[in-house]
Amino acid sequence: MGEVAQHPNIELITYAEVEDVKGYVGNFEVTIRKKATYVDWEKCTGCGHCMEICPTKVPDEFNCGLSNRKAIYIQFPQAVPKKAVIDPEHCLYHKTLRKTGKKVCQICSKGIPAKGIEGCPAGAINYDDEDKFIKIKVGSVILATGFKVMDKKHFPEYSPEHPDVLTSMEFERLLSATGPTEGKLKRLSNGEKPKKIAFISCVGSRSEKHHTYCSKVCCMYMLKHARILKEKYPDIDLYLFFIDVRTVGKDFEEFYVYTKQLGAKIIRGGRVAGVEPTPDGSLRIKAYDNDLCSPIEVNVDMVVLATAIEPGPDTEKLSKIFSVSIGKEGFFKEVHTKLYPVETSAKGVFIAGCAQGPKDIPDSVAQARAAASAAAALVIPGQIRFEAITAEVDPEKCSSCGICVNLCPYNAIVLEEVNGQYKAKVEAALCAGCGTCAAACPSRAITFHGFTTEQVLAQIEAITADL
Amino acid sequence: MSWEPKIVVIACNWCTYAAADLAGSLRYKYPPTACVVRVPCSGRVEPEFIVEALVKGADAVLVGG
Repeated sequence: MGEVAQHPNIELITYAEVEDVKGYVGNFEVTIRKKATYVDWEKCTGCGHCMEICPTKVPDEFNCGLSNRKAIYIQFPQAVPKKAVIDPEHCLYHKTLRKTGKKVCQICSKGIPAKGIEGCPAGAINYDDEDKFIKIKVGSVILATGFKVMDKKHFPEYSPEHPDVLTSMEFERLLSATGPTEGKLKRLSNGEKPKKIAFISCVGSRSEKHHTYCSKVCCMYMLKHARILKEKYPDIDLYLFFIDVRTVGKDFEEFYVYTKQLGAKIIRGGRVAGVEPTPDGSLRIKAYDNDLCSPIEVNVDMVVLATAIEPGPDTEKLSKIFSVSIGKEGFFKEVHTKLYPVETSAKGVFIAGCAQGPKDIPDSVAQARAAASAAAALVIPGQIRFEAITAEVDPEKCSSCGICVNLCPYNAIVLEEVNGQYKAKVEAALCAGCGTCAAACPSRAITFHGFTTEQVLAQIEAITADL
Repeated sequence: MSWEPKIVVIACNWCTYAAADLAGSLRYKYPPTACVVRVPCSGRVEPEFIVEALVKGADAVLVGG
């Protein structure tokens, strides 16, 4: 990410949302809302002083709510750009200002003079910041908006409210040096190091009840977690519950075999029936073991649920903004699974990564490169080839009724002013060549190249000639 | 010989025409009295096409799209 931010040909716009898109392939005009940060990023050095002195604590989204951040914060230590933002939802100044109109707190800018604590050393805090709207012109667009981890609350059978039942993402943060425990493995219920950990796969994936698709990455990251734990803490017992192990990919099978050799216990046998808290504070797993051909029960100290990959929260909104279709599972839909894997129904809009469907890092990188190439190849020549089969309006015959404008499924027709009169005009770049306009035009003002009325009538005449 | 109706088939390029093409590839048979006119989309079909076919003597018109 740092390299991207430094690249002379890449402009990185963060903390922003796409509001609207106009135009068509080669000529998109994108309206972007740059959210108010309340911090002048020109001045902010990313020192983190404001985060230390801010009195308001908020659950940290980056650590899945397992730790707290402040109301002024840098999202995570490696954030690019490393600049602070104020969260106006929780900031005491903004909250009080909204409620009573009074200006309170302001510790991040002014410090606490009584205690000798200084505010922002760069003087970067600006409480009056507002959302800014910018417009940029681009030739093509790549949607790579990622995914969301399925919430564990949907699985009451796995005791999701128990502090020692975590999702894989929460567990990942628990293992991280920048996580809530600074990398120390401990149970969130009592702070002790767990002796037995169970991992449960396909939580929400491959299920008629939730998502029918396979989330693709869970088997491998469960094995990764097992391997990290076994290499660091060989005395921990690990139980990995799978429906079946799917380690498809280069070197993945070897990774699986190696993890088994480290001593992680692999249990295959369909979906785990339930996780129940026991009176002694442990968690009882009820499952079935195919190899033993028998139901099994194991008591563990911690349970990690590999919850499904779900489409990102804004996928539907973006699909409407960019006129890109989405599949039944809610991911962006490609034109063809095999032949056009990064193209979408909107010409000039491409997709990559988990926004298109669940995939791992190698697949995401490969698809991102494909999308980048496709997007660049479309724009670099400076001109685009179109099908010759398009509609054309004869302005002499056009009666300005506008019937075609509303009928066009591709919004390719607009009424344009010519010498004081509004005449229909077909934008060739958007015309998909359906001919609906030509059939509907009451003035016969639209010529449909390749399938003119005369041509079709001549064919019908030829067919019926011998009758 | 029994009477067979003469049918003018106006077929969308993307579905009906592709299906007729596939029928040919699969060696399926359909009567020679059904004659296909390809259009880019059933949206291209003007009422006049249908009326013209019937006026010129077709027994039926099939618009597929």
